[in-house]
Amino acid sequence: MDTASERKTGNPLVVTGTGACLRTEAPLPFSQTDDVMDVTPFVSSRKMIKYMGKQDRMAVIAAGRALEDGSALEKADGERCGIFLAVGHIPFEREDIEIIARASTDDDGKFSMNSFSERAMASVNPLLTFRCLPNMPIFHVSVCFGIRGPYFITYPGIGQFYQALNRALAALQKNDIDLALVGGVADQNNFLVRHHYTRLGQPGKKPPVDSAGFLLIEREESARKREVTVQAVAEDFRVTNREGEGGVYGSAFYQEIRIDDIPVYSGDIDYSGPAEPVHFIREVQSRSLAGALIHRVRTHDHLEAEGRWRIH
Amino acid sequence: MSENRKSEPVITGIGAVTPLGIENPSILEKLLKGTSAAGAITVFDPVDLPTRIAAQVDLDTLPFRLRDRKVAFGVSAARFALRDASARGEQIEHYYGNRIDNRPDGSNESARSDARSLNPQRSRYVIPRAAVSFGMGLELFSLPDMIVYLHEEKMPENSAIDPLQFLQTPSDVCPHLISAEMGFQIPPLCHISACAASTDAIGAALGLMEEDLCDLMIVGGADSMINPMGVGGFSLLQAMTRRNDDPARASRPFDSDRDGFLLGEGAAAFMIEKRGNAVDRGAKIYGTIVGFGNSFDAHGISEPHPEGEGALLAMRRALNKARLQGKDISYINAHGTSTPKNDVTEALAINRVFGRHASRIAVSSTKSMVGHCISASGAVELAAVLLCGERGLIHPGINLDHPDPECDLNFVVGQPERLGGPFIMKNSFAFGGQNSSLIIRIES
Repeated sequence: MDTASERKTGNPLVVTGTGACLRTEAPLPFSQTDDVMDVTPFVSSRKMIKYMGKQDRMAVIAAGRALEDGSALEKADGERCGIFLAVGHIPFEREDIEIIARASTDDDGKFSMNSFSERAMASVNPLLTFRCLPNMPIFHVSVCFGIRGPYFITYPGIGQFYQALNRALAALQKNDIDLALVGGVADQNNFLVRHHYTRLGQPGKKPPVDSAGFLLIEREESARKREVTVQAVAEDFRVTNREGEGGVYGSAFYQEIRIDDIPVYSGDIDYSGPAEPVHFIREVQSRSLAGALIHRVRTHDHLEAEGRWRIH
Repeated sequence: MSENRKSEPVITGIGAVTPLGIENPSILEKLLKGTSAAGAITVFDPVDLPTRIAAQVDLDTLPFRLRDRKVAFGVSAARFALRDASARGEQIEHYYGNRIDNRPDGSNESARSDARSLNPQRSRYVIPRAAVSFGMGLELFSLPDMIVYLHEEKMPENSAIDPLQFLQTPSDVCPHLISAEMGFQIPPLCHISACAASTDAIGAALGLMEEDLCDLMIVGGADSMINPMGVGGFSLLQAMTRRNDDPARASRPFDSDRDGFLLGEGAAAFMIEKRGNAVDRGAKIYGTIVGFGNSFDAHGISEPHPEGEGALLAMRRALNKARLQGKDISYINAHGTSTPKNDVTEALAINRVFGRHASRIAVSSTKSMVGHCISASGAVELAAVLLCGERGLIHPGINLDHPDPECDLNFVVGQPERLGGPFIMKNSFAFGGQNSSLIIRIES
């Protein structure tokens, strides 16, 4: 499944805002500072915060920063803005799960339906459901910023970021929307996600980290009308299936970044989930490395993706 | 046939794994008779949970079985869809596939054994411009496994369980398995928009075919939340019916006495082709995907927008996409969950979108018979609509004894009715404010 921007028709698709939220130390080959996880500037009602899991908060902060960066926080037409998001593996919070597990265990240390029914049900945090559903990050982003446009939500990794990007670019090209928030979010510093990477193979040398990132993408014509700065042009993207490996998952994970065809980094880049391409763009921008940024990735689920951006 | 018509996405195969059964003719018969699939939960012992009833699938009848029920349902449904599409025309693999005698990895039919991964049955063919688009349920963990896991935060040594099936099976396994089995070469799409997921997955076919990215797709969805955490979680939200003593009458969409949804489970898969290819293959066509729209409520976390704004937007977007007017729709298969808030909001949104035409549009909810199959609901219900539609019929809703005056719609109750026109709408609305609507032209 591949797509290219409309640059040939004189109406390119451009990035006019970026936003990120990184909870932990730099996952990238470049430098990156720690982040603050304060969602309050972006919520319309503080009571919503209690419903948010870590992943939800990260997504709202990153989306808010992207909209702010693209001068679209207040002025965007919610019905003409879409959200296209890849989320990471589902991170139930350990503390909540331990309470349920303890209350569901019989004297022999085994699961007991009687105990679950009598004790665990009474001890479950009723907000647990809200905090664990994978469609909640997109819900919170839509509520916080009044977005009512079309959406695409998928999971679990960096290959799926490119699938989300693909759907966003198509919606812009068809004029279904004027603005697309395209991003990724993953709470990976979590015992269930660690379990997943133990059986699958860890993508990177260090444990995967938590991160969220969004791009605000629109047609160049729309950016001109809104009088906002074009930060990058979305050029070419490709997502393909790699043939020839058995099983649902393979073992190979590989990333490569080039700027103007010069390799900047390749091999095991510490993995910050589906938002990773957003971080690369931001890093190149912050270092004033204008040029063509090419990102290639090969993932455990046999996807090969390539993205090419012209950074201004 | 014009070029536009040749590229229309048509549905040529249906595979359904439902609480009413797994064979299309038998499912059709039960739908038309208004049969409830509800009963006591037997998948696990619910002991004293507030809700102890559900509409369950018989896993033992399926050709593909796993610990994770939804993955088993999804792969089985996809196989049934392939079988159905191939039986109603030239075989799919022969028509679209390039035969492989030797795979690059040296294997022929089966993939090499890999203890770390599930082993798909591999196709002898590859189909280059084909993709899976599936809506999948939450990768919920098994509580008995979790208790074991929490001791040491690792899988027990010498466990007989495949690592990918211990604790939780990632939901994206299902579309990957289907893709590998079918030899599809475009990466699968996995939609996770909860109760709207499979409708979104089906709607995606319209975009991908329109953009000429695919010639062939298997679309649909699978889910099962009938497990302690699923039933417990929904009980905590007080979302489910507690009519434990009367399961067959528990799911009552749009009825004044409804008290929550009946949990269902299942999967449905559809073979989608371009009309030109389908006709060339000699296939019988169930229907054409002509419209799709999705939207956000951008409102409350657990309740729909009180004016049905999000639902309205999704329906309008689907109509716009199909270039149709409200009067063109003859039947709406409602989301119709049987929860107090959803049904009123959906009725309001339908009345707002269709205005005076709303009273002429037939409405029923498949959930009255199969329960709420959550992420699979849109797909399972569309299968019901298409199986009936092929006979020119609409299945009735059941248990609608006293229609809620706040749900002022033209319900099909008790007996099947004739389909009044070719265009039908399928609605799905998710917890979390994602709304999705599809329009299908039933093939006459």
